[in-house]
Amino acid sequence: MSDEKMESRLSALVKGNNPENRKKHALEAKKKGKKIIGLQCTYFPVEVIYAAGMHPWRVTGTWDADLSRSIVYRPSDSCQYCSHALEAVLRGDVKFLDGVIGSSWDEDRRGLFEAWCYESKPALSLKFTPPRNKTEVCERYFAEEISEIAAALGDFSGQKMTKESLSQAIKDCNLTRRLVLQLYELRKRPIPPVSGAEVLGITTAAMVMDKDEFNTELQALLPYLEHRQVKDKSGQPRILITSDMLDNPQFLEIIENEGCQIVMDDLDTGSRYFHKLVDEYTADPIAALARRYVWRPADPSAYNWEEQIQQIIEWVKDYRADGVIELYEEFSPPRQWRAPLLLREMARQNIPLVRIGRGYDVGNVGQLSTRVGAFLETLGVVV
Amino acid sequence: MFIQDQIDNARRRIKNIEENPRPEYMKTNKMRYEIELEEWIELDANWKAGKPFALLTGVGGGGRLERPLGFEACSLSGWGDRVRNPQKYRDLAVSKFGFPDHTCDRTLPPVGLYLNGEVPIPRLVSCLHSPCGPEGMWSPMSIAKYMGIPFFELLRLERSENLGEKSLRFVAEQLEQLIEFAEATVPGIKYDESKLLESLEMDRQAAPYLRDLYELRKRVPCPVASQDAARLGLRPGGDCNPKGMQFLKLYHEEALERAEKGIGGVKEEKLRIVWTSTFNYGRGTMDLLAKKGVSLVWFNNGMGPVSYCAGGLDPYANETTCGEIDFGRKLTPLEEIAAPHMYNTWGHGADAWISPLIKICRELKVDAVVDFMQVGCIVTKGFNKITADRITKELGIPVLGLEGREHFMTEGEKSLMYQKLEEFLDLCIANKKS
Repeated sequence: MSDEKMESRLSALVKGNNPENRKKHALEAKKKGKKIIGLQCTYFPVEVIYAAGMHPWRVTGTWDADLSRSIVYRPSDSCQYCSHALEAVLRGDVKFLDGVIGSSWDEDRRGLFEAWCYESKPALSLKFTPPRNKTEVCERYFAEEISEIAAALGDFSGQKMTKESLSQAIKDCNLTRRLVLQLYELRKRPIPPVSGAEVLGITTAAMVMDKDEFNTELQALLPYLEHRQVKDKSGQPRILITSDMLDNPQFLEIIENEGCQIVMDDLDTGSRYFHKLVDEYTADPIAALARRYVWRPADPSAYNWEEQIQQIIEWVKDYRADGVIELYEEFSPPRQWRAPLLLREMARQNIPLVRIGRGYDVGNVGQLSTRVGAFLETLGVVV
Repeated sequence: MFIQDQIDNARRRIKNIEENPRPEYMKTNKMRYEIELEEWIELDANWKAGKPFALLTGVGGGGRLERPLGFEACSLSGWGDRVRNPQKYRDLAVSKFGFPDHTCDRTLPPVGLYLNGEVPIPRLVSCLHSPCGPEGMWSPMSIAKYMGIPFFELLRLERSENLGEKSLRFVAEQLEQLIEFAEATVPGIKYDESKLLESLEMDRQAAPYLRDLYELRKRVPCPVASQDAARLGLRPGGDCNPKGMQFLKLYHEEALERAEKGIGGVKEEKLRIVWTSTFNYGRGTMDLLAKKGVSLVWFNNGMGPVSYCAGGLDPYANETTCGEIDFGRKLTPLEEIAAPHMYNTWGHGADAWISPLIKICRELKVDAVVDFMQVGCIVTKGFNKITADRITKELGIPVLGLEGREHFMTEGEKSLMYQKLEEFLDLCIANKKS
């Protein structure tokens, strides 16, 4: 296939979670007779949704600045992902969802779930406890919780999960993880063939698209990307981005336009979502699922802050990043409470770090550009 | 320094009560401050003597285990609420260390206290994943991790229908692990179950008084003054202090006597309100309520021993029942202290927060609700509209969503807040008359 056609396929995949496309994937799945389950938390094991014959769809909030409906429920000093997600509900943008699964990732997320259910009264609404601890007891109870939720999902879809259907779902999801991890490997190159914005577009597309379709597309694109010709940015600083609930690639475009390459991320919508496979060869797939989700790289809402920071440090080294940009969501508490520890540990490792507050929609572009530009100047990378 | 400030403050309050008694307030408050004074003096002495302290937070978490483990107890918001200059500690935490500046007012002053070395540094910190992340989880975690203190984390199960054996077992099992961790990590620490049993026995003795105090609030006029309604905890001096128990009995006696004589917390009760969520400190609100003849019959914050008695959530109905859950068996001591995490009405979703509140409003003949939307409080964020909708619909009483802060308000902000509150109260009183 010609480079032009591959670029077109790449572009389509990168835009998979854009407002005009994300709903389309859900509706296509509906046409195939599948129920659509909205997910408010990336800790939920999507495998059980697939195993119950349904389609998981990560909830993305509205990307424009208008919160005139959700402000009635949520004050302005609230997690903006949650406010924009609720705005989407209140506008009627997600009426196609048959059910919703929320979590206690933090109190804002719980509040989103409650307001969502109060307003839209979904046919299925479930809430789970994301694993915050990497312990045996946590694994055990999370496995029990997965079992119970899987049973509820099976009742809802009319297709009970079996060991075989779950094992197959695990294989399919692992394939996605392997493919995305291959994509991430390409970012280690001196000139990565994909930008940070493109990678975020791809990873968020994976969370809304049909699994087989996504895997097929990425499988086809990877050989092309191996040899893709891109602009030589070899002299530009290599940056690792860390954030939560960041799903709009435009943020990363703005940053990269200031003259850097985003070579790695620490995102729940990116690396943390795909790192670690589920053991496909175990006799107990539910236990394997629990183990994977407990032991995957954790979000700041989990307890193991030191490990999370160590993971960032390892990625900085692996991907030879010159600096780290933390794009913290302004009113999302967990990351902000972790910040003093992050600042101190990064300083100890001599890893340049800048923390920049952001909203959820891409407003205040000028300020973001200015701060990023100033940070990049301090990195002293010879261009 | 903080502890000396508390000692001086307690002495000042005792003196003030002796010299300027206010008949609308409970006489037993003097005993409360006397017990608190002793507690602060003892804390100071224990700190100077080098005794080991622990910060074990979270309702249903390790917070009852300090004494049984051989620790003295640290506190977070319990101390932070009392600082005389909260701005100083907030500035320290934010400017010097980089903690978030938009979080709940109750969380930064205690962090500043610890970072500034004005309180004993704990040898162990634990938290139960609390309904309130900033207060119950992230601030103790921050202190522990930033200061290099051994930290043990406990989780609870979220699903609100998950109230029963599994949820109980999950936390109780982790409490066992906390005990093992404490013994292995802190030299000289050894768990003594008899001390926990003592503490639980005192809870059982306290329960009938707490239940009755709730019942007394149904009386018209409410015998408990607004200021007293807003106090957290009715057993000063720690959970196993015989003087605290004595205080509770005398407090109950006095409340009963006031109720029998028709003595209210305000001179002429014109309106009965519930204040929900968090509270702003300082005299302004109380004085305004008193001036208007408004009784704050219930401060609904979802926690504390009294609220366990509301809405049928009585943890000590019998030996096998905790709250509304009958386990059908006697609980172990660790299970007894784990169980409250399930019926803490914070953190289990909108229905768990609002339904007991509605029941309380009905039972206490409440005329209006003030839903205090504290800046930075994320616990009930997202519930305010649901709370207002349901209360208005199910009870036909008005709800005021009042924005404010506990500590850090400018004079202009306070003025605006009081203006809104006053207008609301005037309207409610006028409606009630007509």
